[in-house]
Amino acid sequence: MKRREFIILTSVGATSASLLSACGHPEEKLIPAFIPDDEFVPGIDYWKASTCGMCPAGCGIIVRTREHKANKIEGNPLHPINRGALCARGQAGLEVLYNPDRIKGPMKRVGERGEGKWEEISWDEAIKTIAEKLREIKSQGRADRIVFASNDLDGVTGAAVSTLTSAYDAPILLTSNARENLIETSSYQMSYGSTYTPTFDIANATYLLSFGARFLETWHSPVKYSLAYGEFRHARGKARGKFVQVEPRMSLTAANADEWLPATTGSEGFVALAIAQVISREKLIKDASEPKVMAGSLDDYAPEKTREITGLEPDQIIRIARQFAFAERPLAICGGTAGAFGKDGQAKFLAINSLNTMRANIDKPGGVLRSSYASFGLLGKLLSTLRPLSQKGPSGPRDPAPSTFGYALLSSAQPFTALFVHQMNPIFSDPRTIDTIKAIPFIVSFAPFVDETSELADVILPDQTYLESWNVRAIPLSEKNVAVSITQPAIKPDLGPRQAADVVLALSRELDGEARSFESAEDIVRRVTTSLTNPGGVDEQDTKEPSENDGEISDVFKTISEQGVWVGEVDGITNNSQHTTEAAIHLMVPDESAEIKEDYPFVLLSYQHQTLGLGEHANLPSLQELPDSMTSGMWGSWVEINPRTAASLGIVDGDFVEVSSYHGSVRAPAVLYPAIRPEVIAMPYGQGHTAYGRYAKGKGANPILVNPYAASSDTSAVRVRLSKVSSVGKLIRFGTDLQEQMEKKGWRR
Amino acid sequence: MTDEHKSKKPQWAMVIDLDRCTGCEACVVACRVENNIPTVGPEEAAKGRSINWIRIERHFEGEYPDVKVKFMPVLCQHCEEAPCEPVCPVYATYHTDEGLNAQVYNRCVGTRYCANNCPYTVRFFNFFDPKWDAPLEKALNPEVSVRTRGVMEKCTFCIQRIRKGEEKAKDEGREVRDGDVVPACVQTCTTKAMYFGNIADPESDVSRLSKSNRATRLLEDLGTKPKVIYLNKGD
Repeated sequence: MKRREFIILTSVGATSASLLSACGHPEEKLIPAFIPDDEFVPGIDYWKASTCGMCPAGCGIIVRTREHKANKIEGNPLHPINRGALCARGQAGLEVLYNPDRIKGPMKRVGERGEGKWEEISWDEAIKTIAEKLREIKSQGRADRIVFASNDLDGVTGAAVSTLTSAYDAPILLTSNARENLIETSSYQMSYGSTYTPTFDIANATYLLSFGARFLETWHSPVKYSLAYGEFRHARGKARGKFVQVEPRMSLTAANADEWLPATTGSEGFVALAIAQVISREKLIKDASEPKVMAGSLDDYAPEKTREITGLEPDQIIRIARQFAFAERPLAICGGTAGAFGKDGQAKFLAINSLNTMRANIDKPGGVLRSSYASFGLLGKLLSTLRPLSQKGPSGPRDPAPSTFGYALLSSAQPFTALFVHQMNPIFSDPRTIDTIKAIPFIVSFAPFVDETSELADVILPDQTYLESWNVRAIPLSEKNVAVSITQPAIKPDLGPRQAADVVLALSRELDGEARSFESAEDIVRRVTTSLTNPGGVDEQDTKEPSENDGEISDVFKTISEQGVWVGEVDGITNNSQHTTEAAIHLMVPDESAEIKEDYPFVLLSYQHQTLGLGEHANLPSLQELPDSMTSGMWGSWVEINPRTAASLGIVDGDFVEVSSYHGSVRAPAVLYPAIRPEVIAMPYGQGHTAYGRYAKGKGANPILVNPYAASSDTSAVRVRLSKVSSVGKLIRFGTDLQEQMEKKGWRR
Repeated sequence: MTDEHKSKKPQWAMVIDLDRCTGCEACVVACRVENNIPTVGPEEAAKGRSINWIRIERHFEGEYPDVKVKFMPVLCQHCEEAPCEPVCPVYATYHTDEGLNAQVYNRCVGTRYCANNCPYTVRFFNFFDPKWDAPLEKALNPEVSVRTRGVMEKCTFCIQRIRKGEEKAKDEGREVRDGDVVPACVQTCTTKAMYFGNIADPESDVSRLSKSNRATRLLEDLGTKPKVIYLNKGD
């Protein structure tokens, strides 16, 4: 008998000797609390590797858990994307998991739509209800008008829907919520022949020219590029890189640049061609391949001729052109506002990409590293049977962004019979679709929170968060290598919510008892990862020996579930990245009548909030109370105005102002922002929820109401007018008096 | 205040490279989660009662179009000559032999003299008992106590992680070295702009970097001798 047990038994014995004598083995009955759970030891940290779900970048995370509770998320040091680092959003992930406003189980609507009256039902009942409805729709011969909208069509949800499609024996229309990047990705295909968004080797570049790409905040993979930026600034044996950002409003990324060029909104393409023209006329690069323009010649884009359009002085452009041409390893990137305003977004990207082509830095250190779209093995096969809403028939190799939800829904003439919504909130993010959605007779929502869209649902089947779910995805690293990153539960999931993919599989089984292609999301992940046959280290220089039973299926899964990631070559990778399409660049000067300019004298630029995103994270208190880096604003939204513009309108910092366009208007407090063009005003997305829980509801305003077309196109800017409403804006800002003290003494001396 | 040369214990210090820092605020949220810092909500935040042990100071310079912005993460500087220490009537704030400016919560009576005397504005007062809407409290770090109403709090350099790192080194029968102790802000930093370690060890990163010609300390002329060293922008 161990000492501890002895003490326990004797102390119990002293107080109740009769109890002891009554039972043969009292220790088994009396001390279960002292017998450790076979899964954990109290007081010891357990770490679980997984993938972050706070944005699409796919950073690796490790979750610290103790006593079955997760208490911290860190970056996974073995993961090639984020190498141990993690951004502010990723750090706040536990507030998604333990959010007080999570829906606890399936619910059925009992009142009118939007009334907010719900009845809790069991999972069995929920699935039976939906199956019944689907059968009814089929018997009416309208099964082809069912939409499944999800942002996880490339993952297990897509695979589960594929099972549902065969069980239901009818094509289910699919849409995702990808926005803005469609023209960007296609421009990479055309300019570089890269079938997937390439990696831009910022770390090894010596000169970085960015056209609106907020790569330190929201662009592509912020942590990956932040790490690269750190090396770009200071790495052993490398000179400090120079960084120039072109955009009308200084973003956090531009704030870190050595030089900020405030070109007019939407003129980035002209700036790029002006640089190209200088390079060409001064013959700065030997045998440079000149970009082809649609009308006239490149000379028409000379900085002297486009000064009016770009708002930049010719000598600025000439200087940048020379720096770009003479730098050891220059790199041009584009994104964000560069595609804004006007219908020539793609031409803008092509113009910017042509600078890289002129310097021939494709697939070279410090340049554009092409990659291929990775759809591999089992998951690839399953996903290729899916049918995007905008295309006819099954697609071939899947387009990373098949069609945007709003566009697909609005461009269809026939009414829909049922809508499944997963990981999307279209009522909030795309108000144009409200009437169409309201007209759909049956709506099923997988939202874990009651948001603006699930408020209208007939049945809510609360999804699990990424910290309780299974998923797998492939992230292209270079032309041949991919990182296969898995999502797995960090803690034992709560019994209430269920992962959407599991529910869809259960629904498939309900519709067709034979539909047994997969048991669960976990089963999909296990079977997909078995196609990875050669487990390798994360880094090629990693000296770690491969595991002993190399090649065994269970071993691959064991490795990937322990490390969270697997790096290597996979089968089925579409390796067609050699083909470029030469298209003439057709830039357009914004065609605006003097009348419109008079009525709407300003341009509103709405941008994705660094941490709240497009509003999907507005329900996390840590991110609501995180002072914005550029304005210190918290718990609300604001309108950024150049101080000179504000003075001309009699607006002072903190005033409540109204921004109105042809489409609608919003009100928010004014912030005098010294780093924005005088004719441009800016507003962050992220706020303006009318539902979505206690932390999100009723905070700030949603600029999408002023520019609804931003939801599915590249047009994130719109003409507006601006006026003062009252002098009480109530923007909450975080501040200390440190700056005053430092100014007295001279900043940083 | 201890003379660091007399102590054989590690002298903890931090280096922040301002040329790498982008102001992304990952450190701010990491610190909140690791150290059980409550959010206070919009009403209290409007009264200036939100708590951030580390924050990003932002400074605009110049006028449009020649505007420059500077970011600077500011946390407790763990001054060797800390102005907050001598004014505490109950010795709630004192200097440890590891060079840390410590705050003993259950000694603190909430005079707020320390916050008043801190030139860096990094000390925060708990105006009420912290509250987490259930089940958010499940995410609390079991190794860090929550602070009650009426006490001051501030950055501890993640003392719980320092203790763990020191114990690990002791178990392995060696001195602490770089990598043993990584505070939450340093661990998450998206540009690897932050370094933490023993400045008494000449081999450590912080020791090496503190001798850089870019090295500077915040409000150095006050004579506070901060243990946080900033590296200015430039080559």
